[in-house]
Amino acid sequence: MLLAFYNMIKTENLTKIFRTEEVETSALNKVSIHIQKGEFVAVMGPSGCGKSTLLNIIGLLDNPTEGKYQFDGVEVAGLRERQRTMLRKGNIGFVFQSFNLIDELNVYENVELPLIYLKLKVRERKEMVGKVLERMKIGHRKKHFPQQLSGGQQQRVAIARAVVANPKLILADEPTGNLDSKNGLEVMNLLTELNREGTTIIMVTHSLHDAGFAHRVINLFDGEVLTENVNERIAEIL
Amino acid sequence: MGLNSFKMVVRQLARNKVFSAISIVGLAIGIACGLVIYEIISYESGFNKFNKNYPNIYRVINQLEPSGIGTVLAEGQVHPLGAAIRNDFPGVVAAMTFYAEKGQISIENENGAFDRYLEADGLVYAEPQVFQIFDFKFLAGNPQNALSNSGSIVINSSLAQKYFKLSQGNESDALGKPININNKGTFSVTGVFADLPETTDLPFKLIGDYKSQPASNPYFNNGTDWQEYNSNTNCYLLLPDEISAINFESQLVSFSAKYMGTESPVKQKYVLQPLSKLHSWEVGNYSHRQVPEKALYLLGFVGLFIILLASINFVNLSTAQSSRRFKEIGVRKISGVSRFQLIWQFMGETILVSYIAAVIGLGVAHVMFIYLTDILGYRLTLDLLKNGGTLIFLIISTFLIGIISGIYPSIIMSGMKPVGSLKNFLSVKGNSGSVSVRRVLVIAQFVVSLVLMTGTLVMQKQIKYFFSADIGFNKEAILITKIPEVEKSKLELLRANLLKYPDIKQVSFESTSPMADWKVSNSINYPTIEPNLYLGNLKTIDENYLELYEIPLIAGRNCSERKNSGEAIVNRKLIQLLGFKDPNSAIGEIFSYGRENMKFTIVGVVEDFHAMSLQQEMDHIILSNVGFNIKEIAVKINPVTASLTGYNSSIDKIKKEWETTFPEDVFEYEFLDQKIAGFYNSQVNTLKLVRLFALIAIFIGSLGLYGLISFIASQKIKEIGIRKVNGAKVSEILTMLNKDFVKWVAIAFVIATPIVYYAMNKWLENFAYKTSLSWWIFVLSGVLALAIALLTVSWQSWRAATRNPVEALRYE
Repeated sequence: MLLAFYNMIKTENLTKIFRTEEVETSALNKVSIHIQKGEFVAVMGPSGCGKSTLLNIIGLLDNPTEGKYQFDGVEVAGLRERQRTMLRKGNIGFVFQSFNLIDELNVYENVELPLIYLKLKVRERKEMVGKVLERMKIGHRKKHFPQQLSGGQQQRVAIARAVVANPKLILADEPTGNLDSKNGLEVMNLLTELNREGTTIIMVTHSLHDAGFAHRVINLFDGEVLTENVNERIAEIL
Repeated sequence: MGLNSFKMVVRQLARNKVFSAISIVGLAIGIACGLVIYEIISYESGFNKFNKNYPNIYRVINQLEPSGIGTVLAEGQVHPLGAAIRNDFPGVVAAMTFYAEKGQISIENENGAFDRYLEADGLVYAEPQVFQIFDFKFLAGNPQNALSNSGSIVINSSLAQKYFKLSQGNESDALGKPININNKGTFSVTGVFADLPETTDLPFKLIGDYKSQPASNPYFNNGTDWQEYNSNTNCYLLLPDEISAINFESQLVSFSAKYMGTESPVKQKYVLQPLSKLHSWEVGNYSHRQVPEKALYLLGFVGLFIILLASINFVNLSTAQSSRRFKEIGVRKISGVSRFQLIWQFMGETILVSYIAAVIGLGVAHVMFIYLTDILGYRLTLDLLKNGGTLIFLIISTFLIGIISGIYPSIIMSGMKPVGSLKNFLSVKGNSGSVSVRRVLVIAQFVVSLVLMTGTLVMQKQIKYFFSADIGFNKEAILITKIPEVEKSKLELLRANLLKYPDIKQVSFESTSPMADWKVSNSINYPTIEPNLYLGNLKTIDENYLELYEIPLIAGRNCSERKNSGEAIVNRKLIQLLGFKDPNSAIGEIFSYGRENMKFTIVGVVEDFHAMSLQQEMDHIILSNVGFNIKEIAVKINPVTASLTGYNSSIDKIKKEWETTFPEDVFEYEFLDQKIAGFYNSQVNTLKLVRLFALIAIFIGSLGLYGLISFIASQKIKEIGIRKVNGAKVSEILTMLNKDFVKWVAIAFVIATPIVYYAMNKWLENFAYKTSLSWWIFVLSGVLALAIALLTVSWQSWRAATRNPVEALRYE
């Protein structure tokens, strides 16, 4: 597995400080992590430790205040919004705890969204959306609106949307947080399957159970990396 | 609502400063407009009401049916009318005729010299019944007999103080003092009355006795002429309660036959115009300031509409902000507030905000009053303590505005579910009020803005046309001044003295300049045309007139110096009427003119020129050296010297020569181009008013847009975030947010264009000569509206689009 040692994500002394009129909060403090292509990494830590901030920076939604960040070999720490959008498009998929589906769009249209911004033709879009919906087992619901679906179904739609453009990286922010255990397990199985097919996955979670699916667990505390543990059960399987 | 709610409102306003400012300012402007319009309407509709006989006072006017024109109402009467009515109808409480004309007043001062004053208005000669019909408060003298004797005059308090250097309260010292009018008649002051209120259409200042009017009116003829109609002679009646106007009109039919005969070529009937209509009917009134009732209704409608627009904005803005109050509402609901209590809380807040806006609105109204002074011709004031009606209007209308603006947001906000509120859901479906209602309102606002904007542009174009159109003669650098007497030797000497100066190019004595605001109009008769149907405009000129005004002859010659030779120069339109295609073939033809069949021989033909403002068709023009009706002198100043040294030195020279020729008169002058510009004052003022309302509508519309885009942006925070996370660029988000507005402007454009096309076509029909309704005007206002809309929404769209999506999604 030569490819496995290729660094997809490499941060050095990543620091993020939030400033408001009155207070200055340091959300990340000199975080240096490396994530290889094809890895499944879980990020854990108590509330407010900076997990989501880290995920946002890695996902190119936000810039760090200081530090370096190489995404797929490209230095991205100082990129402008437009450049970040260009890089993000088609490369990174997002899954959120609260699904974040657009209420006014139906299942099909929600999943289609990234493909529209990639300027793909209607026929191509139709084919890709169809495939991914079948794979997520919600093809029969494609005309439904988010409010008409169960939480598990909504999250499957969200995952479908995240993977429809075949991104290299999936970022999942507590993907099972709003789901019951059965639906949660289903989601974790889906993510694992995607990972096996070669997609790099970074997942923020509170759940030790979910973290158990990852190759490696990064523990954050007060904006700093506390420990990094290779998940032995998984390592054995590998 | 208690102190707590009050504090809550103040804190909320302070927290969202921009939002608070624009919603309050919008409302304040709405209230100010309402207030201004209320004041205008109550001012205009309050005219003449101070007369205690108001409901029973009528003006006798003529309804004429000249052939081919239809019915015409004319206010001018003959001198003996009032006396004849008094004689034939003893049941009429009072009847009175008066004659009005501007004049020059001379008062001998203590040095034995004369102080001279020109009184452009307010000088009338009236029968004594004037004081019985209208309300006058006498400060000195007795209204019963003040005008009984020949040579008596009654003046108002201001003039008594001005003429005789009296202080207020000592007006009685004016009694018995002499006043000379036009150097022709000396009158003795027999009474002084308090100045009439501003809201009168009969703003008399000097009232001379009726029989002494020859001092101003050479055609008085002892007041016995039943043919000498003059629009300056008016007749008023005071009817008893038991006689209705219709009843009395029918009695006047036989009266008319008795005095006028039945053989008159024009059918005539007397009509009674109530005093209450004096200010609004199209028939001219003495004050020359009239406002049709229709215009007042229209104004009221505009006022209501603007208030409504402002309320809509308030609704838009406050519902847009409602998401910020979800938590407050949730907490209140969990604490057990009833929906009714919540509605009242929000309504109370809105009413309070309305009153804050009303206070600001008072200031805005004050500024608007100042701006409107020129347009309206009077200055409104906002003395709320003196003017109870205005105060009550303000209090009640502000309360209503608060209710109208508050009801929708209150119902929406009070209906939110507590759980949803506490969890701070950003897209509570069906809970934050519908966008489509507001969409319709915003489109309506665009339609109004577009109509007003296009209207402004068309009006501007028409007025530009008025000022730049070729009128057929040169109006530049011509000074016009009156001549008080027409003795030939004096005029010739004056002309010679003026032409000595190199900066004076030409001098002409005339009845009027080529374009004027009055005319001598009588019928033209000639074998080829129907008798007594076509009117000709006769101007008295001299041999220098054509050269001075640079009017080109196209056939024949100029008139000679000889007065009353029967020579006439006519325009192309007149010879075409007579049936001549070639101007040369009309030379030598003779036609007759007017009641006494004056004979004119055509000696020259000139190109057509505009003899009245461009609102009217060209006339059939007769220029002749008839010798009578010479009223003014036109002096052409050399434009080259004027451009070097200015006009002042030339004016001084003219003044000096004029005063040497007429030592007992006051010199007064006007430049022809300015006088002509004045013909379009009413259009210019309409333009100013429409432009003001257009600006206000656009401003309020923009506030509405701002409210709507804020609302949409706040509703779509999550959607925008998701789209961005999924790869949408800022420009794509901007397009998504702005494209609807482009669509709405387009819809509004489609609705507004036919409306404004129809309205402006109607407006342009008022003018015989007009600009075209070019397509580019419509496109221009469409583009302007689009630009204004995009500018307004883009700030909010930009903020929404560039917002970090993380913020929108983090706390879900």
